Amino acid sequence: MRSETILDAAVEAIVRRAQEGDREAFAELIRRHERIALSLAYAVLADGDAAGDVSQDAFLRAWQRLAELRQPERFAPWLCGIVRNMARDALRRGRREQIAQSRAAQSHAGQSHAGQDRAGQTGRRRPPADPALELERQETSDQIAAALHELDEETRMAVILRYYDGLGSKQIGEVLELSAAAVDMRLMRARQFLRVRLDDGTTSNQPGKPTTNPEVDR
Amino acid sequence: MNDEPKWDDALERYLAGELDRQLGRSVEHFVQGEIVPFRPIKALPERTLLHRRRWRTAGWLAAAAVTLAAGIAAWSRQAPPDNGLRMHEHGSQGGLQAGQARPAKSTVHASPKKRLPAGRAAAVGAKQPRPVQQAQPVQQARLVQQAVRWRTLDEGTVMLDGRAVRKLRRQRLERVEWWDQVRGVRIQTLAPREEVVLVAIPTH
Repeated sequence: MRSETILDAAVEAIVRRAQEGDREAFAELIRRHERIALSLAYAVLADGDAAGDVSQDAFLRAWQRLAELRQPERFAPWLCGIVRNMARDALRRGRREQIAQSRAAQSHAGQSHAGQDRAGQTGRRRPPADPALELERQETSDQIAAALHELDEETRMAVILRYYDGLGSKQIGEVLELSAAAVDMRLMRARQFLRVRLDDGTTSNQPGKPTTNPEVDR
Repeated sequence: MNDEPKWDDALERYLAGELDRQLGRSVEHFVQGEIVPFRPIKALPERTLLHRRRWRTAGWLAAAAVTLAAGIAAWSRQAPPDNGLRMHEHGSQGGLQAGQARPAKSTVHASPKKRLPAGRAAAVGAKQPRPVQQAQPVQQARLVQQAVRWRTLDEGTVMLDGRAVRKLRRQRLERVEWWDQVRGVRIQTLAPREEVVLVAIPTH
């Protein structure tokens, strides 16, 4: 059960123990904040693996600098600042270009320059029963990836924190240092944009419509 | 509006597909990895904090000044000469030896049409033009933007050699833009592509 705010008294106690050198306490902090860190890193880098790397490094840096945190109850916003800065540093170092180039080499038609690692995703799934459905799923993923990256960074972060981590507007506001109302406005606009953008790119095939029913198609 | 839950679900599934496999990595790395030095809390006196803050500010200002100077130097170096060519002087690479001066009336310049030996600068007099060599293209055109738009049309089931296959038509338009810094030219290409994909329909 998640509390309404990420500025949590329970987290504060764990942070204080971690500041005294308790590694188990810090491991618990990682478990509690991993999804937020991944969401923010992914919003900047557009790649799951790179987001995982940055999150990993950000937690290590947070462990190294935990003594500098004067307000333990603000651990989450402080950590989010570290994640965002490290993700942006990674982006500036050109990691995004390398990712895009490696994906472009692996991709099929229909993948944008901010596309996703479909080859990696497909490789981790069991063989699809219907290649047409798999093709449709891959194209939907590409559409979503492209649409997400047309959003500005802060709005994208808000969307990912909501849809991946399930955070409320107040919690998202604490992470992004915005008011809850501002977060709601951004999410509403993002939803409108995504709906228009994704509907624009749909195929003539209706999702869910049976596609491999020879009896019907005859 | 009816599509909103559909896209909400698709977005959740997409993000889960991208990020769920990263869960647990950070904990595992922290727990099993090398012990990272941990600095225990030490209450620093206010004077020390102020002192550190001042040095930090001075450091940032110095870094900013160096960056600005480097930026100005790089910009002035890149500014092309009037005739668009770069001038190369190879005095130290096989031109004049130290202390060996050429007379103003160099044989090199006696005939303006005479070509200079490659890589050697010519001595110049007040009235002799300095020969120039064409600049090597020091920077190639740089890719600045690439955008792809596509759509897939389902053209239904067709029979092919007695087998039912699904016919999908994929149309793609790729726009690529380059910036040629040497010539100050922006180049854009549009490449349409269309392909028909036939997907075998499994039969039971």
